[in-house]
Amino acid sequence: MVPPDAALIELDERGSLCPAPVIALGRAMAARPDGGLHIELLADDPAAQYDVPAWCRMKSATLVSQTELPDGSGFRFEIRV
Amino acid sequence: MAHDTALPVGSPALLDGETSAAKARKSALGRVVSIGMSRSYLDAVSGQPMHPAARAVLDGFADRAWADPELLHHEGRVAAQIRQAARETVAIALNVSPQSVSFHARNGLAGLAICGAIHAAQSRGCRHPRVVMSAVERATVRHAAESPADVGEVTQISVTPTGALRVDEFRHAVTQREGEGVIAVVQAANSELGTRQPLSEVIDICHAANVPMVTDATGALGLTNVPAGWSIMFADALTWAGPVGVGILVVADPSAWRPPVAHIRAGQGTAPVDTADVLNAAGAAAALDAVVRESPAFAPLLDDLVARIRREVPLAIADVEVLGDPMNRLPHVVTFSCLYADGERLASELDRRGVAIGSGSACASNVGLPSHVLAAVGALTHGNVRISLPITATDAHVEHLLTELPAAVAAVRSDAGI
Repeated sequence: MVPPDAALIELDERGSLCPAPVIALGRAMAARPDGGLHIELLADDPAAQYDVPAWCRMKSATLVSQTELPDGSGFRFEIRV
Repeated sequence: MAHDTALPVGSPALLDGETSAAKARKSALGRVVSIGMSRSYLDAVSGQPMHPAARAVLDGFADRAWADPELLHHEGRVAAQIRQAARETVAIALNVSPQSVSFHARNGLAGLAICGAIHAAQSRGCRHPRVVMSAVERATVRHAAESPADVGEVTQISVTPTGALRVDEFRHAVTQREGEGVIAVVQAANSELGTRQPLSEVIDICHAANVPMVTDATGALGLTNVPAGWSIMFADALTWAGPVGVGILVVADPSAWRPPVAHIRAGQGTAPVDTADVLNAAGAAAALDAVVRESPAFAPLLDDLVARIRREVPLAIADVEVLGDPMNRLPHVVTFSCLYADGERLASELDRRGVAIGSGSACASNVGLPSHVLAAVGALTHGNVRISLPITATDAHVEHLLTELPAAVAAVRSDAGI
């Protein structure tokens, strides 16, 4: 459920190494400090599967879902801030 | 100075005041730069300077401990006598029997301990013994448990967010499917997080289930109490500032170990045969003896320094997570992860500022994968700083770290544009 006023942001960080995917999340968050963000992040660094949930915990964001991409090219994270 | 180097040189006498002919004759070893006095070395789990007691033994026995201790001439018997004295020294320090102690090369030590336990299970008629181990054993231990061809299933027991073995899960894995051969492998403490494992409970469970228990005491032995009752224990001597490259194996229950095929030597019985040389064995024993006697004095100091790091780092840096158990931990280890920081860059930045640290971050490791320990506790795997204090660490070293850390983290984060 995406709140109607939430800004949808798509971040494709496939090909970039950690901590770049998490830095991208941090930048997105900094650009909209009041929250109301709905982020879809794609990443293929194996460390992202640990770092993205840890980021969500540390920044009190909600990790809505974490799935492996069907073509095996990485992970898809759905995050609400 | 004859050489350009980023490192401060502590001993200029090494190079100055020599003729060019003397310089030309000098071997490559003679040109090695020494380590500056202003550095703060905080990566003891990867190595630390030898304890003076070990150095004294290496110097004092170098002209007597070189012969083959298995041979019967006078020189060989002198070496054997020194080795026996080393065994007895370790036995007294650890309150075990001298016959249970052997000295080994560090490389392959975990394999010797675990494969020996597997082989013993096989000699009791269990063809494919199962291994039940914590998910946070050192990489070398994991590898040793997973690689033997004839090992059965390897079950990894998960840990709490602070890195402590989940005892109920362990009990279930050890006691299910009774009658099958099981070997338990649980470290005394995690040398990456500092968290001590519930070893007494693990030992009780293993005794009740009649399961041999192998413990890796690297990181803990000599510095903190390691509960007794295990079947087999091994540890790398760098833990107690012994010589580099040597470790000890203690087989408390002789029925729990048989020589793995790769290690069988002609005429060998069922006990481990030393693979370390006598001089290093003596050095390791002397350092262990000294550290066991001295640790009641220095361990509380290290413990206070770690407590200070745990307290002050989150106050000095935003977005940092200190890991491991704050209380039930090793006295000298603490690790934390800094959000948005590249671990390798952070380690280099601190090194440039005179502080040597370790890191479990993927980019800082030589395998390119994040530390399985950080992954197992659900911590940030990047921006990881692993501090392990050498036994000689002081307030000044920790002060140095805490002074340089905020600027180092800020520099790495600002390079990343955040």
